[in-house]
Amino acid sequence: MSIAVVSNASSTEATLSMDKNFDFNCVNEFLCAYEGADIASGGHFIVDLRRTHYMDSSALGMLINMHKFLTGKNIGIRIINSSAQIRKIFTISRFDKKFQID
Amino acid sequence: MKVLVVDDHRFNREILGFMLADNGYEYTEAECGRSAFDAVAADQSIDLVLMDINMPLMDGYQATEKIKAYCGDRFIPIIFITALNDDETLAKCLSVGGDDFLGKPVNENVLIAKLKAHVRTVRYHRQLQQTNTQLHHHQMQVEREHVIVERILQSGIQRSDNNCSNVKFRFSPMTMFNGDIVLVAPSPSGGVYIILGDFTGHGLSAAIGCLPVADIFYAMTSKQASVGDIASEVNKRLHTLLPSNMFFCAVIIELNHSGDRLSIWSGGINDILLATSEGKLYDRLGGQHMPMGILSDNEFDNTVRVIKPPLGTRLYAYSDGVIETHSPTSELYGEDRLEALFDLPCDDRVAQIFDSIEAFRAGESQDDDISLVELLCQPVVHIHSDSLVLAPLDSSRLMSLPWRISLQLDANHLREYEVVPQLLQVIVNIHGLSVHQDLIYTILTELYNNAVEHGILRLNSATKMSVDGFSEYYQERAVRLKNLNSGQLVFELAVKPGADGEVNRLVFSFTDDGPGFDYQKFQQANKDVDELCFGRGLTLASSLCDQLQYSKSGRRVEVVYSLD
Repeated sequence: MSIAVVSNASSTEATLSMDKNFDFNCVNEFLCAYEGADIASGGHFIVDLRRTHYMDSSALGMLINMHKFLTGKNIGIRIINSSAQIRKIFTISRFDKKFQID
Repeated sequence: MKVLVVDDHRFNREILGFMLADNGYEYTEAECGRSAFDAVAADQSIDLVLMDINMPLMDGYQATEKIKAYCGDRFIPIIFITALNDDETLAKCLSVGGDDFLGKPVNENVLIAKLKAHVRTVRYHRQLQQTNTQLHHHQMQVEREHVIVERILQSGIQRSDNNCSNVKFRFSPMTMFNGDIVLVAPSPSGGVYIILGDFTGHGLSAAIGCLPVADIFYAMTSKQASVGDIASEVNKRLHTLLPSNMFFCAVIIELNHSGDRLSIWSGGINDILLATSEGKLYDRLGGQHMPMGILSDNEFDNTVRVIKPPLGTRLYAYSDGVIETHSPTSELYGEDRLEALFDLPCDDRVAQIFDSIEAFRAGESQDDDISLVELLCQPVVHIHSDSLVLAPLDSSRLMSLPWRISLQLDANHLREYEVVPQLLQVIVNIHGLSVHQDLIYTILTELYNNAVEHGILRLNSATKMSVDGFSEYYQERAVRLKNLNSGQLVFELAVKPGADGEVNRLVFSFTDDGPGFDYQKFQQANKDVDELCFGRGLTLASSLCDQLQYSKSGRRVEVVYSLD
């Protein structure tokens, strides 16, 4: 399991590229990834699910925690490149209401 | 060398016969025009004819006409032997098809000199004929091969199963084979990928490079690879494949599903043009990198440019052939002419540009492949694309044997093995299952984790209330699992073939030996979990399947999933 983190030079945007499985095995790594990235207020995180095939409900929990953590700091989240299957999971869990999902 | 001597006087034939025999020529005789014709028709080895003019039945002129008409491609020089040497006679000898004439009485030296000259001509003619036959044969073979190669290239490169309404493209190959390539593929997340490229040269040698490019492009886009990774892979393959004087100028583009994010890698290609929704040109993206196929994998730069164009923006990419089109006065079409077109209002820019190039060329022959692509930046719509739908495959109705498996997992298994991936490997072999595999994986994971975490490890979800608790919960899970030495989990799976056109169904269950739980209360309590970071698992699993049922005081959960 590995999450690649890439921030832009001006610290306004960081991309977290998730691995094949987004599940409870990466709870800590995911937490460290967004807590560790130094993003300025007004900036945003991009969660890139390009490589992700499977996601479970703990991943949804992780995203909710991330959202809580960042809202106070005025930092946004965008979820990109989610497959049709994963989008279905987001829709069922009504995540499309709370997150910007491309 | 065999000579036919035609004369109605035996004496004349004999004199000529002696001369020929003296000089080593083989010969045969005919007494009149008609028998001369018969001899030529019957004897393929006759190479040359010595022809008298005045003979009974058929004279020399008539015989010559008939022989020449009959012989077609077989070249037999005919030399008239005549006592008449008036211009009219000589002219007639040649006009009926004769090749030369010789006065009577025949001088041996002149006869032999003329024969030698004509034999030379015959030899040249035969060589030419042989070469012609070979060339013709060769040409036929090349044409046949081209037809085959064209079919292979076409079926290897173009795919007709997807059509994205955001993309418009056109190309006009200069020869049967196109050294330009334009490919479009849907991305699994609903966006679209495009590659437009131009190999050095044109014709077959350029077209052949399109095959590996198409292979890589389709394989990688179906896995949602990033534009930079696709560029690296194509470059790597072409670098090993192409001779050093050949390379591939290309642009690879990905537009996301909502149509507001472009990722672009371009190398050696003309500026990419961006036009507003009104059609006005507002930006050009210059080349970023060297063409593909030149740099080795570790020198290659796969940096991608990401831009976020306003919705309605149109992007244009094109190959060299567009701006390098020649007018009859050898003037180049050029970028300025192309860009000036954007000042004119137009509904179909692609057609307008092609019309403009055509008009500029004014009938001159095309000297390079021409291709052009337009990409509209707005939410991506695929037509006939099967990649986004859980396709209602016919295989769901395929006959399947009604089988079941049952698995008893003890503490050892739960501790040491990745159970769900292994279960999935078994399930995946069921007919028609592949399109459901990701969702089934999610359901299995949710149910398995519930059974393990609550039934076997006796963890309490309430711990997950806080952010720290969330992490603690999963840390505790790992600790308890590591020390697990009792407990049992039973997994059962049954395939129920659908009768009479019904779809096949999958029924599977987990039964743990834990304390169970009050599932009815749980279901009521968790109606609104939007703000919580847990409690979604069951809801998620049950909305992905047809039926989810608890029994045995919450120790057993059973799911029915239709393979439709």
